[in-house]
Amino acid sequence: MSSDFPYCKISGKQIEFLNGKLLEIPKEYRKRGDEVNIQCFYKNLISKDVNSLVYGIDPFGFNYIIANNFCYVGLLFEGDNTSVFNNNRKKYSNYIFDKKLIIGLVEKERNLESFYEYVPIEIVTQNIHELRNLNSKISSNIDLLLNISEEDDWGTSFERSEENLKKIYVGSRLIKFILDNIKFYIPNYIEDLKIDYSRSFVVHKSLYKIVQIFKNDFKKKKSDISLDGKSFKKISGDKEVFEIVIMLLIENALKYSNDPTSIPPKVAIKEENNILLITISSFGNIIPEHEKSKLFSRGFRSTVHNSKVDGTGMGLHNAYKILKHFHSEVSYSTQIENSLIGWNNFTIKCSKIF
Amino acid sequence: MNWLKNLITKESEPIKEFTTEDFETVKFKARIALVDDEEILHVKRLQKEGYSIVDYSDIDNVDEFIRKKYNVVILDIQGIGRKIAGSSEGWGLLKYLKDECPHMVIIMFTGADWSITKYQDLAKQADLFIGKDLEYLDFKSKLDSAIRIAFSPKFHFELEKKNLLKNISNADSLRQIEEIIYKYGRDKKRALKEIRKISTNPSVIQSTDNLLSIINSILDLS
Repeated sequence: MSSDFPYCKISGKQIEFLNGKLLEIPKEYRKRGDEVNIQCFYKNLISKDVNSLVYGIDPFGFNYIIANNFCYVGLLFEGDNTSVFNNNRKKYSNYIFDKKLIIGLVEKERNLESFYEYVPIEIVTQNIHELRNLNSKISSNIDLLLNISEEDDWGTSFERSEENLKKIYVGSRLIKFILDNIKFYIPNYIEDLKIDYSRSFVVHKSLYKIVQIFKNDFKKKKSDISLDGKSFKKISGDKEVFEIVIMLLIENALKYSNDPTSIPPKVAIKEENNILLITISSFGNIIPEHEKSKLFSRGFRSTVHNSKVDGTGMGLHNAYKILKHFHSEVSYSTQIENSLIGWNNFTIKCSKIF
Repeated sequence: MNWLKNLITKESEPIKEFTTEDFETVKFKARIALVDDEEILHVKRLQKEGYSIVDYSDIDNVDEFIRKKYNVVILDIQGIGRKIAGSSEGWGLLKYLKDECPHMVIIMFTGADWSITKYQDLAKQADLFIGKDLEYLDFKSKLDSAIRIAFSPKFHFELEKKNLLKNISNADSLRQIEEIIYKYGRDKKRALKEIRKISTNPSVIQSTDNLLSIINSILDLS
């Protein structure tokens, strides 16, 4: 382990004094002759099983602070007074800190070390991988039970399936969606996506599938999302990546609908001058004019939603970035200007269709 | 006599990529191996549909595996290849296979993005990636993409081009070799005769000979 500040730890039978990343250990701790005294002092201190935070002044006139065997040394807290301490203040002006600040930092470090508050990122990523792997087992088994052998048969096969099979399928797809969203936090993940343009897919089929997934989700109050329009146009790329965009926008529409049960979101597809337009609309608070330009920015949350619905402000941003891989873009519009409530429309424009 | 006529006509045809229609038949002749220590249900479905896919839980003897001349190999990352590659597991296997047979199309079968980041230099050698949690139809579509690459004369020529460039400094000669391969490639003897007019360098002849063998083994499938 390393620390920002000088610290000590038990190494065999000895106490070892180590440099911090920000400050080196004061040279007094390296002086021969004073070793026995300081070793005894810190051995005695560290060997005590202390859970609470303890701080004081050591024989060298520096402050120490210890919690759970983790011990900062060689610091100078503002306000403490002894003659040695005052000499050190003149010599080590960079080592003077506010006591509260250091206590806060040590507590944070102790909590991290002891896993009081945070789960280490390696454990999270490793377990996400395991979850993804296990979800793939559910997914492949349910695929087999649904017996969908061709993309064209997806709708009929899904519809004629038993309700509990549909639920398992939907559950597995929604788990995948959550795990995919976590991946998007990896720096440059979306930018670095390698899309296979030798593949192509019919956009309408993807829309239909995602609408079915959300229509069969686990809410007691169902939202009867409509899908209007028909198109056989295809675009190039990986279908499953494009479907994430549709999931992000429909999830967004459901989340920000005032009442998705009585006024459900609408999905529409149409062709216009060899351009494919997909619109996902929800009835709710209208995005104010001055916020429209920031809507697809990373982490942006509209003032009309941020106090009412939880969110990260990442969904629209991710959708916007993924669509670039499909030579497509998404824009926001509303039918009624200067109104507080109405239809919020997110339109995807796919220009490279065939 | 018809077979002879067909053979002569075929041999005089230039080399082309498979049409979509031809590919739908020929894809079932691709030799595919999946290496994963866990059971993958998609394999049985693919076999049922007619794909020639062999399911391995690990590779014990990598040289014997290479001798089976798979067109496409789907490699898991964790839990395989420890005997050969130690802790780099599937990534180490990828390196070994790509170093030994660069013409083999390799798909890494993983959902572990942290691992791709950690082994990014090795990951660059992979031809494709398939997420572990893809639905069957998407998995199949990705596999078809890999077979399309493995059956593409262009893919194999581009790989061999790197070897040719080590022995040919003249860009015109390389272009001429490419033209000969595409024009006479189905008739290996004739193609090699024409290439010898451009270069007598044994490495160039060896390289084009290998390339023509690979391409013809693919074209013979149709």
